[in-house]
Parts: sequence; structure tokens; C-alpha cells
Amino acid sequence: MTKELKISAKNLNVFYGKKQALFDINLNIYANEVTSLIGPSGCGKSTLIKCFNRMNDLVDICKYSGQIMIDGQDINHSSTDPVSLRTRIGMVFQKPNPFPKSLYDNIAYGPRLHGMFNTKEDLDEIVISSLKKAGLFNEVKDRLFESGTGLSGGQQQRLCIARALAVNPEIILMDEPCSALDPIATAKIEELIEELKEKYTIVIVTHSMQQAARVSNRTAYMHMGELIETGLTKNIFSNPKHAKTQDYITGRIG
Amino acid sequence: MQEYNDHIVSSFDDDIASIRRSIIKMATLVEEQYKLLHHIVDTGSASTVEDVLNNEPKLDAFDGKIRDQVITFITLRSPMAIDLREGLAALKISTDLERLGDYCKNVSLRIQALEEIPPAEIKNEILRMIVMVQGQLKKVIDAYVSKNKDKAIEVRNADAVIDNQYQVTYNHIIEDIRKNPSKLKTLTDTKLLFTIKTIERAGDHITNIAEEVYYAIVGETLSTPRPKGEPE
Ligand SMILES: Nc1ncnc2c1ncn2[C@@H]1O[C@H](COP(=O)(O)OP(=O)(O)OP(=O)(O)O)[C@@H](O)[C@H]1O
Ligand SMILES: [Mg+2]
Repeated sequence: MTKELKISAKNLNVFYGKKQALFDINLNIYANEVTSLIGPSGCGKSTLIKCFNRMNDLVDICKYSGQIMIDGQDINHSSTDPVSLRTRIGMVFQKPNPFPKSLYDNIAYGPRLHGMFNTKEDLDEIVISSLKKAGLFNEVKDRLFESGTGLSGGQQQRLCIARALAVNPEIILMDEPCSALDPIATAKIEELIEELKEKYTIVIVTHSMQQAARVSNRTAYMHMGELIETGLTKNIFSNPKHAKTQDYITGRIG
Repeated sequence: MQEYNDHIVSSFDDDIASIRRSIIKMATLVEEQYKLLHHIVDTGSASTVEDVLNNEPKLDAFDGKIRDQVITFITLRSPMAIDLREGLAALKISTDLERLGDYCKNVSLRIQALEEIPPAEIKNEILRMIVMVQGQLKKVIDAYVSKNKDKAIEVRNADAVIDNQYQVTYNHIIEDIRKNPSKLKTLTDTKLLFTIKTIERAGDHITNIAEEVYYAIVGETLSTPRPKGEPE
């Protein structure tokens, strides 16, 4: 079976002012797979995934050259509207960041912003199904109108995932989604990722090698703004081809 | 020779070094066993058979110790790639070394139980096979110590020489039975047939070790088929 290409970075260079953060990145990300980005702090992982939903547009000094294609379309082309682009791409951050509103309003936020429903019942349905997809509904069904910030860290993170799912995206970007979570909450998120990849394309940045190994189909190793090696996760972790990848994943002095 | 950088956590390197030390000590003891075996075949020394029997439990102990070291290493360090292969190779190599030790004991006992002194020519050929095994063993330990994949390939390819010697000696023993079919001779020669088969199998276990060493270094199975001696 040939994989469907979802996102593709072509000769991507990114600069923050004079400082170059990414160097000539070429990377393919396939539909219904989990791709993990790994590499030492500051190597450009967050910068790269923020290119995928044009979040770097919000940073004045950030300039780029090259292309990002999603479903074969250049997302930086003048015909692409960044707002509608972002409804196709959900993002989950390292620190769960629920809005200081009720659980219900947290999830309803995106659909309201984008006018994605007609009746109150439609919106209820979106909220409930998003919570279910995020594996959170049973735990919170009696407190939908309490504040999202009152949840545990793991529940908050699943709330953020539910919020991302509510706008019915195609791609979910996760930047270190479990770094603040205990092993049980982490396992729940990982189980969720496994389920979500049936419907979505997932890109996850993680500092945990074991997590990348557990959840992803493909892994890309980055080092000082360059993409060093990409391949099937099982190959990258069992027998990487590049000495820099080997040093990183085995904890050697590079 | 393959070289890697040190681990950031230096006790990680210490763990690997200590597993490797155990393997090398165990292999050195197996070498010693085959030296004793050579002496037994050469002289029939009963006290040397005792020495072999006394060493045998030490090899079992090494096997158990290495298994524990590797389990602890994997549990506590979560090794990846080359490091994981290193640990797994140690497990398999110690199993092969343990088996090599078993074979040595079996052959020693069989030689001690011979009804007659073997014909000089056959005895010399058996001694030659033991020397070949010793040479292969030394070389495979060198390959392991120096992480030298080419040496591992050499060992694997050289096993055919032991196979060929086995064939030659096998034919000589059969000939000896034919020539002089007394009951005692037949009993002796039958034991010698088992003896050379066991020594030939020892060569196979050294080949296994060579393949493990190669896999640990390269991360891929040696793909070409094992060279074989002439068919029986
Ligand atoms: N807004 C910004 N302004 C200036 N430089 C930035 C900005 N964001 C990131 N950088 C720089 O770009 C480089 C890549 O940063 P990025 O955040 O993408 O790394 P990262 O791989 O995500 O690191 P970490 O694992 O620590 O999150 C770093 O040198 C960083 O200092
Ligand atoms: Mg980051």
C-alpha cells in the first residue's frame, strides 16, 4: 500500500532575524501516520511544526524560504487563508493551556469562532463527541460547566486535545504533549494517539525516546536546524544510519 | 574496528564494560577447557578430566551472571540501537559459550571411556580438529574484544575447514572399523565418531558467536549463507 502524502516540506529555511533556525529541510509526512520529531533542545523541532500551521506568521522577525505543501497545496501561497488553514490543523502544546472558562466553552470555542454549527444541539453534539474522542467524557460528564483549569494535568491535556478535535481537523500537531504528565496520564494520551491516527495525521515533538518509539510510525531526527535522518521508527531506534542519530538516541556525547 | 563516543552518563559505559568483561572471562575459561581437552586426547590423563569437570559449574555460573547483568542493564538503562544489540549479543554469546563448555565435558568423558587406545593417525586428526576449534575460538574472542566485523566474517568462513576435517576423519574411522571389525574396535570407533561430531558442532557454536558479534556491530544479519564443508 502506498502511503498518502499529507505534508511535505521542501527546501525549507527559517530565520529569526539574522539567526537561521532551519536549514534546507526536506521532509514528508504521511496521512494516518504518527511522525515524531526528535532532537536536542534548540534544534528547531517547534519551529518546524509551527511552520505547518503558519504560527510563525505571528512572529515578526520570522522569515522563511522554501515551501510547505499540504495535500499538494502551498500553504504560504497568497490564495491560502491562514485562518481556515488552522481549522484543518489542531495544535496541542507542552503545557496544557485550557482557557479560564468552563469545559464546555473551552471545546465550543473553535466551532463558535468558525461558525461550524447551526443549532445549540449541534454544538452540544460537537462538544460531547470531541470529549469522547479525547477519552475524557466519562471523567467529566457531570462537570461540563465547571472551569477547565480545575482538572488534573492529564485531564487538562486531554481537554486541549478535545478542543483541537472540535474543529474537525485533518492534522494534529503536538509539541511535547506529555512532558508535564505522570506515566499513567502519559499512557492515556499515547493510547489516544494510537486511536486518533486512524482519522488524523499526527506530528508529535517529544524528548522521550521511548515515547517516540512507542507512538510513532516514522521518526525524524533533527540537529542544529538540520534534518539529519528520517525513517521508520523501528529502524531509527534499532539501527540508525547516521552517527549523530546514534549518539543522540543512545545518550552518547555527540 | 568500530569506535563509538562515550555515553554522557559514564556509568552506562561501566555497565557495558562489565558485561563485556564477564563474556571475556567466560570465553577465556572455555579456551582453557579446550586446552585441557587437547591434553586429555593426547595423554588420556584422568586428573585432567577431573579439571574439566571442576571447571564446568563455573561456566554455568558465568551464564547465569551474564543473564542477570543483561537483564539489569536493559531494565535500568533502556538501551537503544548498538547498546541494546550489545546486551542481547552478550546473552546469546554466553549461551553458546556454555554449550561449548558442555561439549568439552562430553568429549572428555567419552575419551576417558574408550575401550582401546585410538589409532595414532585418527588420534592426531582429532587433536588437529581441537586445535582448529581453539584457533577459531581465539579469533572470535579477538573479534569480540576489538569489535572487528571483518574478523567475525573470517571466523564464520573458516568453519568450513573444521567441517572438511570432520569428513576426512569420519571416513578414516569408518575405514578402521571395516579393516578390523573386532567388537572392542567397533565400540571405540563408534565413540570416536560421536567425538568428532561433537567437535564439529563446537565449530558451529563458534560460528554462531561470530554471527552475533557481527550483528552487534553492524545491526544486520550476515546474509550470505554459511560456507559448508563437503557433504557426507
Ligand atoms: N521567537 C523566536 N525568536 C528568536 N529566536 C527563536 C524564536 N523561537 C525559536 N528561536 C530559536 O530558534 C532555534 C530553534 O528553536 P526551537 O524552539 O524550534 O527548538 P526546539 O527544537 O523546539 O527546542 P526545545 O526542545 O527546547 O523545545 C533556537 O536557537 C531558538 O533560540
Ligand atoms: Mg520546542
